[in-house]
Amino acid sequence: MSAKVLVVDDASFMRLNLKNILESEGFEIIGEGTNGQEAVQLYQAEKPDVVTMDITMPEMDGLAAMEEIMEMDPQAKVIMVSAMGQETYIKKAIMSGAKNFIVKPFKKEKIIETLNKVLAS
Amino acid sequence: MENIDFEKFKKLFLQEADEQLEIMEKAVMQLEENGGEREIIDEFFRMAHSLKGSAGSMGYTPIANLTHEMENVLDKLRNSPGILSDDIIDLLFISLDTLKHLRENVEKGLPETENPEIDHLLQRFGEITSKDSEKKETDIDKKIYLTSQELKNLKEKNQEKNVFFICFELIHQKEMQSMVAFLVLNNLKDEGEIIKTYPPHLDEVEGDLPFFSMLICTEKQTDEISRVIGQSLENEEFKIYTLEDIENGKSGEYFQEVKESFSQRGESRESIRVDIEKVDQLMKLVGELVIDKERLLEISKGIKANSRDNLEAQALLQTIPHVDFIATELHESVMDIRMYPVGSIFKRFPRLVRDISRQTGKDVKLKFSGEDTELDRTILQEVFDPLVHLVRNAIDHGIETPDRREKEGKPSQGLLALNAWQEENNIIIEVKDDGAGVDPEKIKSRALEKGLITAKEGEEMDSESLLELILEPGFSTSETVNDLSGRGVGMDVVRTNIEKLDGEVEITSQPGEGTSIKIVLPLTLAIVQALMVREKGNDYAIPLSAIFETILVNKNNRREVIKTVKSREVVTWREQVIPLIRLGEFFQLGNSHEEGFLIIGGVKGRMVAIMVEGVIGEQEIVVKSLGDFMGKDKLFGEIPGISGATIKGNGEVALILDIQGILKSFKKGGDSVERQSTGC
Repeated sequence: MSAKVLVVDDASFMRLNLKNILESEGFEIIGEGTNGQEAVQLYQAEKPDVVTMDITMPEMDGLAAMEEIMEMDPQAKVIMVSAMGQETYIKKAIMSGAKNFIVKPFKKEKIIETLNKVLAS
Repeated sequence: MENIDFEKFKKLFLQEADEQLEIMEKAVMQLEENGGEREIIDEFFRMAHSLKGSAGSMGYTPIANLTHEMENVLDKLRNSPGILSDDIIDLLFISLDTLKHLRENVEKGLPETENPEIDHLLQRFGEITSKDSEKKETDIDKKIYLTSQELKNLKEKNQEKNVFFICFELIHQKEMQSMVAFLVLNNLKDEGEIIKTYPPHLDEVEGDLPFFSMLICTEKQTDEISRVIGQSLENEEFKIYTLEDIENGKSGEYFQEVKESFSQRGESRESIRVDIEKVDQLMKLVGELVIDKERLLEISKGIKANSRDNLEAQALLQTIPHVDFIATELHESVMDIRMYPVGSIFKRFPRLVRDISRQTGKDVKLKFSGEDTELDRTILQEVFDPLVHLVRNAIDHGIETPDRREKEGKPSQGLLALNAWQEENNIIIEVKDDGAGVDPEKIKSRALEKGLITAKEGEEMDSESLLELILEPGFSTSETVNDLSGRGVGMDVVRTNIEKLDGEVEITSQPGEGTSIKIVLPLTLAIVQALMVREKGNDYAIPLSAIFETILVNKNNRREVIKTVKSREVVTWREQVIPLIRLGEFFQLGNSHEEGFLIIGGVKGRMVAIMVEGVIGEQEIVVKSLGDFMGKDKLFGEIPGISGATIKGNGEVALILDIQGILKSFKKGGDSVERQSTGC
């Protein structure tokens, strides 16, 4: 059974990029969020196996969204997707329960590896 | 150009040399006391090594030569601590003195001359370090370092749990390596107790971090730990060592390989040297920024009311709170730069105490506590001399000779403690001895003799006030006048210096048991939180640190709150009866009103209720001194109750109330201060 992924990013290019990579490896994209609020709503509705979460987004940022998701479902598996230099956010995210992080720009292998690791844990 | 550069380097060299010499001196003292502990020798060695390096590159050959020999001896000590002898300690002491002397010469720009003393020292060092031992450059340990005690503790823990030493090497992940470390660390924290990490404070490191390691104590087994690490690491190398591996040196091998890279990277991000003047300048600018910020906040209040539809005004209103936030953060950051641990001046005392006790034939043990307490650097520098004086006094007059102590049934070694701690907005530095103490009766007769007090005054004074007489100019109780102290100057100078810093000196003493002298200092002088109040059309700032509560007084509760006892107005607050001062009357601005606010304030347990017309609110204020205008023989004369001025948000000036001053003048002059306020 293919794992269900929720992709959250405000940039449509990034969502498309992730979608292509993940679908080519047999993951199922069950939703795409463009901001933190959408992410929380989609998580609640779709209960994905794993979330890739951009940090800087309008409305509600990825950190706040991740925290809300963790509150709803302490077992949630969220991977932060971050640009260089966002150490502070990543630290906060890790402490609030994010399972791992990916640095943009990323390689296909790295994404797949990280997702598989997190799913296996 | 070259000259300027050289002067700059020289200044830096001198600065560094001071610190290095200080640490080395502390290290010798510790060696003398505790014997050859590895960590002390290592530290000592490092300091000698870096001094040698910088002296060498500056061309100060005698310093380089001497430190080189010291290094050799220390290296030898490191390998066989057993050879530590009084002879070596003495030699190290003399060498440090010589180094200090050489350093002075460098500062004064004196040319290097033939110095037989140094040759003699070098020769003595040579005798200790046998000729055949080849000098080798020893680099600094970068691995996790455990003292024998720590290792012992670990072994005990290891009996019930597992102790693992885990080394990581990141090969594939190149970006944000420190975050990988953070992730691993965070996951491992759930599995057990992280005892130590390399680099230390692993969770605070940012940027490149190709190698790191940690010691963990856990109930889990290797494979379980390995699995947890695997969850957050992709294709990266890590090795797990057991405690036995550590002891057998296996982990050391692995780590030795990676440590080179560290010494090339790390170091520079630890600290930089900045001229204190630059920080002061920064602080001044931040002060100005805080004033402007308060002004902006004031202006924005006006805009809010009448510009709902103006988009630009709205944008401005969104920006101002951010400026407010940034200015406050900036202020705190700069303050933090200025803060310096009290330990930095404490560490200059061991040598001093050693020398004074030798000169006076006393046996004194020096103890510290609260070395980490931080204080504004400017204040700290000003405190050193008074402290030296107090320490001298304590050894010279306080602590008895060993014979005398034994006769009194005390341990022959006297105890001198330098303690520091924070109490609300004050930092307290205490010099405490277990010596003979001060007898208030002796002070009384001495003060009578010197004509400092009249017989009648003497009768009325309690022991506390008698002790305070020590701080009066021209007072000295010691019968012998000697080299060190007791010339009748000093204690009053101590008090004057401390009062200049807005501080205070407090003495307590028990005859036969010892004396404690406390220096009470404000945390910082520049920017404080204050409550703004209004009276007779003027605004005043009261530092929040001195305020406990504000009470609204109106015609309903007036009679309950304010009572009259013996024709003086008082307020009962939390079961205490405290005197009431009406601010307008205090400053002779006119008769007071019957309604308003009571500001319950106090300093060191003495309370006062100040009645004002209105309370404006809390605000950050920048303290501006009025020292040039206020005080004896100055333009405005002495004005009790005012400690300075500040600039309000609207650009006007507000006076800062000095609660302590108000309390003092109240004590002297009763509820009106007509006697003092001549200059206003």
